[in-house]
Amino acid sequence: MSSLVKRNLSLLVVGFGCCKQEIFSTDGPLYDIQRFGINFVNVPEDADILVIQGFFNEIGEERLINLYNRMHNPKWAIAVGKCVVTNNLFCREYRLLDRLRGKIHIDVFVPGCPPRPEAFIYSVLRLLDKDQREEV
Amino acid sequence: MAKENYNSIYSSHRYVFIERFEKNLEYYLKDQIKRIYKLKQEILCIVYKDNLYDVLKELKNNSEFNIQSLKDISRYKSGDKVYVLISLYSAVSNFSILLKVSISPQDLEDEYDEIVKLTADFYRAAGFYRDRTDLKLKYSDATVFSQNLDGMDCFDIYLSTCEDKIKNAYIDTGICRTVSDNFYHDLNIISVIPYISRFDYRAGIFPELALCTSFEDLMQMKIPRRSQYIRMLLCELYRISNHIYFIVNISKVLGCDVIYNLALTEKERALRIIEFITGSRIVPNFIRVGGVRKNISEEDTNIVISNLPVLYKNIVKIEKMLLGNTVIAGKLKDIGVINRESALEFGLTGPNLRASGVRYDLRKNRNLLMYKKFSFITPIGKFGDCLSRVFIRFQEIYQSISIIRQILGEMPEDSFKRIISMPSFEFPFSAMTSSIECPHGDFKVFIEVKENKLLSLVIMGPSKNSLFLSEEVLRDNKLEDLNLILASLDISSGEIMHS
Repeated sequence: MSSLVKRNLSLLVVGFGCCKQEIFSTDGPLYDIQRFGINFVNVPEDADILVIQGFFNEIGEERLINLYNRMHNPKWAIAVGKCVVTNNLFCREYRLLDRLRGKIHIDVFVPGCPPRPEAFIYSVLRLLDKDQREEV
Repeated sequence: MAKENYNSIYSSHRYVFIERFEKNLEYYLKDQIKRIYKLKQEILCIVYKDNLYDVLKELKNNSEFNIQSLKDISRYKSGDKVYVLISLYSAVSNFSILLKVSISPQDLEDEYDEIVKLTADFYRAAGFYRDRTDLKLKYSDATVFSQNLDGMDCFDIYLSTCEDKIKNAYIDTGICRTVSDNFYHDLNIISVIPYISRFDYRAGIFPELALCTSFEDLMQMKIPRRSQYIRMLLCELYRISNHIYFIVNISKVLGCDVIYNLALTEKERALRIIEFITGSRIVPNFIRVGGVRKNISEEDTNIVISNLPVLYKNIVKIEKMLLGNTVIAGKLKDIGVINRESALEFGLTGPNLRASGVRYDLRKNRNLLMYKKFSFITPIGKFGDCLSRVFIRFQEIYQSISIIRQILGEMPEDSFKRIISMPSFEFPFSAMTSSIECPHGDFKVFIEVKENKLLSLVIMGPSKNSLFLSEEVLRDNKLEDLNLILASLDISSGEIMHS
């Protein structure tokens, strides 16, 4: 990960669900994710990391792949919450990651229903560390 | 003594009223209604499909009933059969009624459409439940896809515009069709509790409470006073946290960064108190049938007592910054006006309805938990615009803080749970419904139970009504105010999830 991206990471959060509330609470002064140079953006072209969370169906999945394709390289993806990592809570047959295999490469998985804000911050920091190690 | 007497008279008065209503129904609609069940404080009528028109006509036009609002139309499976449940209520006469109509599984879509059409003749809001995909092509000048902002992420809006003004809007909730019909079929009754709290994840205690109270009503169980007090404490804490989150969303839309950060800090404060008591922030899994999961200790109450003055002080500060600023107040004023008539027609409940000038609060109007023991005011607005909706939320936070103070002052020494073994219960086939005043409005749950299984579970969240009404509200407003109007309606995405 180049130092330019590393010090100014932009996150795009997609989907709806309980995890979103926890992810956005990291934006406040208490958790303050911005001290690591991490910001939330709304436009996929500006984003470096795609945060996938919440409940999805076929329409949402199609939109998700479209957003990922619109992001510029280098790009990463984080899967947050039980609904994405294993299966949908209210529709057990729907396994998002199985359906996304080959289309989106997931770098970090954050389990929990919903995961705590600290867990989300830790996952982003792990992603930064992981890339640093790979470069070395 | 006098107070106890008053309470006993007051509660019995409500049952007399329901019995009178039931007799009226039997008198006027004897031939049309197959059967009438009394479900605690509401009435369930089983109606033949052919007679539905007459029943709806009588309920709407007869001054004895005077039911003006449609809350929800939902379709559910129970065994091999499919039913349509029409939920109606009247804020004026403080009464709600459920109509259950059977439809044949072979001709499901056509018969459902027919019922919706019939209902739409009397209740305009029913039009939103029919298939409206043709509007997607009709209103395609501008499309707003589900956004990053919480609460506006579960629907798309198709607009037809004239310069910068919105002429017509169509809301498509296809993206949140993520729930399977039978997710609860292979679960125990107790295992459904943590699942259901995800249906309103901004205030997770209310769906749990609605489900558990419906079981308690079904078993005619008397709940220990202490557990009722603990339930009320948590309800009010969640109400505060939800309303602060509403302020966070509003300030984010308005671009007030300082207020956004201050409000997020206060939301964390409220959530930390909740976490200290329940062990979880978003989905508490705390309410049980017959009480609560855990007793609250002296340490817990001390934490609440020490944090309340700070919370109150900071909320007053935030209110002064937000509403004291004439520029911000000017932005909110006269935008997204909902008048009293349309609010009632579309079945709006909660703070959104109260902002339009209707005093309807289940905490006071029904015999809900033990709220009657406490003195608090139900704040109402006058104009029904965004400013009144924000103002109402601030007032409700102050009222909730005062209720919490009273709860902690009068906490009785009692057991916190009735010890019962739910798996050993074998219910005959029975139905029950219960309504809870959640921060967005009237959260209703309808259940059907047989033996030890949940046959059907219908969730009727209040955000659905706000969302459908927003189509009407957006009309003739500016395109730039779209986000603000939707944020001011406080839509919870979980409640809109459907199958």
